[in-house]
Amino acid sequence: MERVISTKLPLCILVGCLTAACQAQVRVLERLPNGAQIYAERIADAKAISVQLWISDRGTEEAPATNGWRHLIEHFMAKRLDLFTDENGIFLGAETGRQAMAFKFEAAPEKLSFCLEGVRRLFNPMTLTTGDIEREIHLIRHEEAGLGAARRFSRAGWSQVFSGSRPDPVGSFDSMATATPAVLTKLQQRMLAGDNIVLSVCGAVEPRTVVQAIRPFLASQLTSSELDSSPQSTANSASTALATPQAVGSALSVKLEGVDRGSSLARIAVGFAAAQANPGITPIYTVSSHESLLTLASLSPDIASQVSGLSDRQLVRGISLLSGWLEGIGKSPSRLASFRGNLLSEGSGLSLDMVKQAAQPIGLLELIKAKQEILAGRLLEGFR
Amino acid sequence: MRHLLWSLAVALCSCLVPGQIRRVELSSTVNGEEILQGLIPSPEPMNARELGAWQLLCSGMLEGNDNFVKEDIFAFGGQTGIPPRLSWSNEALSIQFTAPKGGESTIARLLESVIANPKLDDERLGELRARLSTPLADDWSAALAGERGDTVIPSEFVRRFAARAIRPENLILVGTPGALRAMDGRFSDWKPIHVPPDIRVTNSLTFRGPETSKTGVLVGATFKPITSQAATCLAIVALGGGKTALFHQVLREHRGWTYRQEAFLKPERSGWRPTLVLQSSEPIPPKAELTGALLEKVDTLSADDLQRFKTLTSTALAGNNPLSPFRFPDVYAGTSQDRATWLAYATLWGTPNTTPESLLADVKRATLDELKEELKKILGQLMVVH
Repeated sequence: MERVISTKLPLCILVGCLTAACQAQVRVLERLPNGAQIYAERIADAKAISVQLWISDRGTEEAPATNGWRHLIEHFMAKRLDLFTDENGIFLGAETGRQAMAFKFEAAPEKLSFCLEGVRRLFNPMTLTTGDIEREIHLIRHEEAGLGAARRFSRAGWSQVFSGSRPDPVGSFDSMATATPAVLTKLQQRMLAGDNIVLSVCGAVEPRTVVQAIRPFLASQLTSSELDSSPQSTANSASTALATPQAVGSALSVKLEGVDRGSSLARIAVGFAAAQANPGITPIYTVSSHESLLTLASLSPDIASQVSGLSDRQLVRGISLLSGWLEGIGKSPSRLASFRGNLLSEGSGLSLDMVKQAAQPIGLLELIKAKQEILAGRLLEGFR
Repeated sequence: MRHLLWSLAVALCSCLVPGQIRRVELSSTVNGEEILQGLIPSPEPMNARELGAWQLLCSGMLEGNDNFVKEDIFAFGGQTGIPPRLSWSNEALSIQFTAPKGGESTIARLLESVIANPKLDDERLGELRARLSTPLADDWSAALAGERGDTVIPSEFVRRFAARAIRPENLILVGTPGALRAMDGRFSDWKPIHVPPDIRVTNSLTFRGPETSKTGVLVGATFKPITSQAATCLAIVALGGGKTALFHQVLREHRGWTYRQEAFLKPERSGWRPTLVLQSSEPIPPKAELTGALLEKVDTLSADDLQRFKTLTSTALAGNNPLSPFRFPDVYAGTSQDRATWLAYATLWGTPNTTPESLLADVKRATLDELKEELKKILGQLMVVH
């Protein structure tokens, strides 16, 4: 069991008051014997809490033939909690990404025990029928139709820049149609292996209280090696390439290294600067310690000229916008829990401070270089 | 002769003494920061040309003027890490600046400058016309944006319209005590000429988004957040304020008509407008079919449902519910900035003493019968606008 205590009280206070010191821990990361991780951080002045269950797709990676099965499971797991969360004044959001799925409970601090109960309920096995699956696929068709332009450009960018990578998490309707109650139930169990799980809790919480309350439950989950292997689909491999954006405007997509790399942060800063200079531009990036994608989507057909036209003065604004973004993560229970939960589910212990540190040396020269790198990225053209 | 009379009337109006700016004090802020907010309702009524001018005017408010370039507005107005906020609809324009303690004179100067001296030369208006003619990012936001005015209007028309729309007597200033003190003496030279309304009848269009989905918008009658309307607020929560609300359960889970469906209160000049938005990959069912399905459910609501909707109202007004119907103004984040916006709209509606807390106290007194009655009333009044 590994315990990381990142912040301590001054020594003078610690002396003679060990209990008080324990209560004053700002953040705790605990790794359980089965591989599950619990991260908890108290945010000064926070008025809310965010309790997030992150589930890595390790061992359940989607192939074209199973593309969308995890998305279906996410829908079924979340909807069972509709009544429980509403009755207790908790908001539950759920999302399926390429590498991880997240369930996010947002609530007032006094609802912590209810949020943790909600986490436990997510582990209950699903009871499904074929009709349930058909109905949910129908809803996911509505969901897919409503995706905004930036999201459409981003997934086209992924498809073009990372050919052969994990398919788009929304899923293929052909593949989803082959899912059965039995395979989805089995896949859910496999996904929830202890070593795939991260619980990330941030806000107005006492970190040790969180760990103590949820540790026995998470520690009881079986590991991947103790569970059956992932179910295989017999469907034909459907193409999940989404190389065409199906959106109005244009975009530039560029690869990023991990979020702790100066070059990545400089490109993100340029994205912020471009969005401020041109309100029609939306930068889209999911924090990752691995190679990832930054897409700058524009509602106009000339994203390249919009980016190349950024003046040095406009670029420099990107530094404070980047700083504001990182500071904002640290102040928001939901964003901080996502930041740590997502990275920990990738197996990365990167902290916000480490990323802030990496952003320190960024100056105009780095931004000018990053701007050129973005312009050399993949140009995506949508409808005019 | 008619032209002469018109000119005389305009000249007389121009001599009028400008009205008083309404100033409202925001008692305190969470982190001790200084906040200054300006709220200006749009002139009423507006034809499509005026609506286009209003949209051009609003969309360019933070793009810089002869005193401050855009980068300065965001650099000086964003020193706390909270960028200047500009939000506008066809009903109102809202601009908000936050400054660290001691920075109140800076944001006062910024607010005065952007409001009283908007840059409306041909080059700027050309940029703004191009921006407004671009489809919006998704059909959802396009549906919410509503009618799009005629922006192919002469620049001179926009400049004259600005003098009609942006006037001292239309401006509501909300601020922390220090920020309001910093406004003393400002706007003293601001005497926009009076301009008559444009009497031509012209047609508006709607904003466009990508046509990948079908979006429907239905609206009810406006109301003010006063005690007697508390059950109306609760009814909006019961329609769209959670996963067990009628919209989610009936339209999405039971009927499978939509994936995204929300009910919220949109601030207009005269109060909150109940607004229901639905999105689907298929055509939205006709209003009678939608309301019929919802009304069936209304009759089955129980005391447990009433209690749950009150809980959802409480979390919405406390800032912990992203499905909050009270998101316009953005009160769900519960910040001092949101409080300022709430106060500005409450002042516009003549209900400055209504707070999220007082509204919640009223909502908690609503009965099941009142809730059902309000739901039936809202569903009966709905009009399809998109």
